[in-house]
Amino acid sequence: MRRLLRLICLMLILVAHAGSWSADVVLVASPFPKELLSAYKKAFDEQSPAYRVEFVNFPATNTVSYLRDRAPGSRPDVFWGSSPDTFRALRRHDLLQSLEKLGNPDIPPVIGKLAIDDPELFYRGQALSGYGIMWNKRYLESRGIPPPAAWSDLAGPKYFGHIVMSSASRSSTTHLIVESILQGAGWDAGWALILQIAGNCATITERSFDVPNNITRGRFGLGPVVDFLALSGKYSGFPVDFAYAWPSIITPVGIGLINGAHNPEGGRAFIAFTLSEAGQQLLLRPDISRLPVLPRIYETQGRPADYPDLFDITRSYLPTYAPDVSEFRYQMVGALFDQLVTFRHRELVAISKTIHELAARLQRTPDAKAAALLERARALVYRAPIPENDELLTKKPLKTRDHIAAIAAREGEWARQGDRDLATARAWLAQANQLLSTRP
Amino acid sequence: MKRYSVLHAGTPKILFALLAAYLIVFFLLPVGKMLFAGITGEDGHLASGSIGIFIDNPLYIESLLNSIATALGAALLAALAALPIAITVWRFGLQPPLILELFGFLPLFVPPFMLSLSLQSLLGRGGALGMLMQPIADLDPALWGLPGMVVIEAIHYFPLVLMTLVLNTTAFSRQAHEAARLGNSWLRLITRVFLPLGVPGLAFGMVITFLKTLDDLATPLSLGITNLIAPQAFFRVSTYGSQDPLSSLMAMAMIVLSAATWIFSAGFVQQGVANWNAAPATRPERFNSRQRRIGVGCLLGLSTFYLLCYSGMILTSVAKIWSHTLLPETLALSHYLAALRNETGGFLNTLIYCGFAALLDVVIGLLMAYAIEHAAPRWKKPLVWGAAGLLSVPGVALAIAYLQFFHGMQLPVLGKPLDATWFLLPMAFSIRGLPFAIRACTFALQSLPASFVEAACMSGATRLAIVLRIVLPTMAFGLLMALLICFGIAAVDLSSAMLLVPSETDAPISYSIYLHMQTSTGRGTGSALAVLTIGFVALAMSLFVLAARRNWSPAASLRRLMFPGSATK
Repeated sequence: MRRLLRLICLMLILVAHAGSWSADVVLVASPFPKELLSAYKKAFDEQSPAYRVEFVNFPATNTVSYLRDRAPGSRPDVFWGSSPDTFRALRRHDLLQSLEKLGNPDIPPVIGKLAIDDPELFYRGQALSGYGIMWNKRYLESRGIPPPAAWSDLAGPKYFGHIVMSSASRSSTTHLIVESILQGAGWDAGWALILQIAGNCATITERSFDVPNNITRGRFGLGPVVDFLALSGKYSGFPVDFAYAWPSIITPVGIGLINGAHNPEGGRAFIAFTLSEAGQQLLLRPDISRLPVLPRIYETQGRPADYPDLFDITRSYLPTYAPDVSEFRYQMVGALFDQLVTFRHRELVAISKTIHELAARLQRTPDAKAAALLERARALVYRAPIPENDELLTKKPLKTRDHIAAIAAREGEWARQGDRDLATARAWLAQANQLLSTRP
Repeated sequence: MKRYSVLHAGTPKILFALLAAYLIVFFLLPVGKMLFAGITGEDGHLASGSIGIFIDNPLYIESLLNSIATALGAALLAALAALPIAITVWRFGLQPPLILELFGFLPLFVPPFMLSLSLQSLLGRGGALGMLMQPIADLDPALWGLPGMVVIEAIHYFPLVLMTLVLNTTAFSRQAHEAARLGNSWLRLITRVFLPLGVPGLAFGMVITFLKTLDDLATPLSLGITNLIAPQAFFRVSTYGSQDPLSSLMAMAMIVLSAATWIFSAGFVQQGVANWNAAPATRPERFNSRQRRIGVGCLLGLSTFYLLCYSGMILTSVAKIWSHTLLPETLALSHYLAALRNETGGFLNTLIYCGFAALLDVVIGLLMAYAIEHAAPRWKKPLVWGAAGLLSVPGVALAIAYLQFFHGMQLPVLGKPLDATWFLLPMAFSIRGLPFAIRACTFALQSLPASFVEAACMSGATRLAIVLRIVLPTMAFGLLMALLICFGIAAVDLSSAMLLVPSETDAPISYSIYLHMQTSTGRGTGSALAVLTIGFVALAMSLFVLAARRNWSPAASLRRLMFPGSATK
């Protein structure tokens, strides 16, 4: 009896306590991994006892809707993320405050060809992110597979079943890679490449971080990742490596103050800390491994010997990436990816396997007719369901129920079309196989 | 005859009004609004548009069918595995000790995605068995698809099905032996006695497996399976926001499906004839050596199997570097230290949300139990089954209903939107835990000796004194039990947590584990957290059994508690 009362009292105290915490909290919205966030939390809380940092962690793909749903004055204070698209969207929805002079004057505004800060100073570059392919050395060596150099390498049959990738609707990293391929190779060729890579994937993970996680553990061989996740694995002693793949993309990791922040002063203090020398130095920790934007940090001791060089990376920056284009069709590219890849992955893998096998067979016994069938099947399976100028991709998306229902109706069309295409392609492939089998 | 009551005449009315308000605001209205949103257009007029879109999309129909098939498959597989063992237990008159009986309910307090992640470490290409078998076969769970999910859910819920089956049949084990001695063959006894006796327990275990599998979000997502109704609804809400009409329809489909399953199975569960109170009396005095051998064999076999299943997770939690080698290269306890150091917040959150939900559950459960006890006889049964029917509200559906209903609502004092606080989380947890709370509270109410209260009333004791000296002490144990059960159920409810958690620092421990399993540098911390959590639950159960033994003699009837089919009196 007394124990029950004591338990109830304890719980009531805890509940009451939870309410009183929110006084000096700096709330930072960020899709970054826990290691990074907790390192910054620890350092900042120690340095500024007046504040206490808390993090809201969700995929960057949901940021705008999350913030818009909250009334000004009750929103998180800081957004910190690597996707330039998200910052553009935040800017467009008037969800950022100008930072003005807040920042570190030693950080250059332009590194290589890459502008670090927002021209209007609504957000600052805090670090750099590059996107590329990470692989497990032991996994590839034990299977005699060479590491890839370009995105298009991943479409080859030797990588079939060894790739792991996340969904563009759930992971901003994957979204950025998909968008950069779409822009670098063109809409149709881009989707063809993405679908071929996806067909080679063993699985599509729900969270970004599960891609490097599966590769460090050696469960799967390779996958597209943001550099710091690969590097942190490498410098923590895992047998993994990483290369920036063409068409490569480098983006500044931004940090900005949210319009309607609950605690703007605390937010400013946190931003200033991340840009200071102490905040930049934290990026070199092995479990974080990000590229600082303060050049002085690269000269300090304690940097791993083959840590990427700031100048080398910014030189390979692909300047054709247009964040405006990406931002406009942001949600739809994610939805298309889910319809074409995530929800149809098993079928896509099965038909990719048939295509690889037929291609190998054709190499041994060439046959013009069968080769033509294979090409037609490839074109059908790996095609974008809508052209780049479709109104879904060029019109501003509305978040009304009717509009969402209209999109859902289009998704239904794609799903039916996709099923029909796969059935046709399967028939053609079977026909081609038959042709090869009946050859004298 | 005058009835003596502890309550003021008007108090019950106020309390029941509050109870009704709670049920209306946190259950009926959100679900009603969701139904409305699914079948109406923007202007509020009836529109079948979204239903047409839903039916027209082969993906959604496939997902719905897949969900039914997976849930049914898991329930059937678990039952098929449980039957031979239950028959063995019955045939040889084994009586599992109370602690083992309680461990049968462990699946309700541990989220099943942990098993899926453990199997990925164990059978994946990156190490252990999966790597050993690589030259012969690729065992990686990512390649299993739906059958993999069926197997994982079946392994997870098997102990529950086995226990409900065993508990329903042990009572007549002695009589069966007598009958066998009289010349009836065991085959005949199994078909004529064991199966009819076991059906209610089997049906209950299977229906729980079905409902939980249907509602499971973390397990399919961890396996990369998206073509099920719960993940589809989750993807739609995260892509298009809570106003999406199709996610409402999916949530409604889940509710309808669950309710239909529950109603269908209720007929079987109700048939229970086992006399629960008599069960301990038939306990044989001593096991002979043959019985002991078989019992120990069963136990060893099962525990080895489960240890093997979870060995992937245990190994990962102590592995520092484990990458494409059979066993970890270096071992360390650093993950446990990290888990304890960095995750106190998660444990604290769990304590707050689940504690809050559990307290609410006990209060509301007591009220509802009281209402059911005092209802007119013809209402009693529908009320009991209606309350148990709350079991069939899937967490995903409830979370979507909450997101839609409370969207844009502001908290009056803090000036925060309601869905940005953790407030909705314990409310959803409390609705989910309510069916169990009502059972446990009914039980606690029955342990209250009416004659004591009447005697105290007649001798002029004040109401407060009666409540403090008689009511609470006699009910304390039952209430504590209710609190713990609701707490445990809330702590593993990932399906609603994944949609309702406002920030990572506000996440309960099960969601923290899910997130930690997907950090870049391996799953060490997540695995350590998972091992700690399972260890904690097992320890709590064992301590509870010890306490029950000491304080409360008819502890064996604890088992009745979880089982809505059994008579409460």
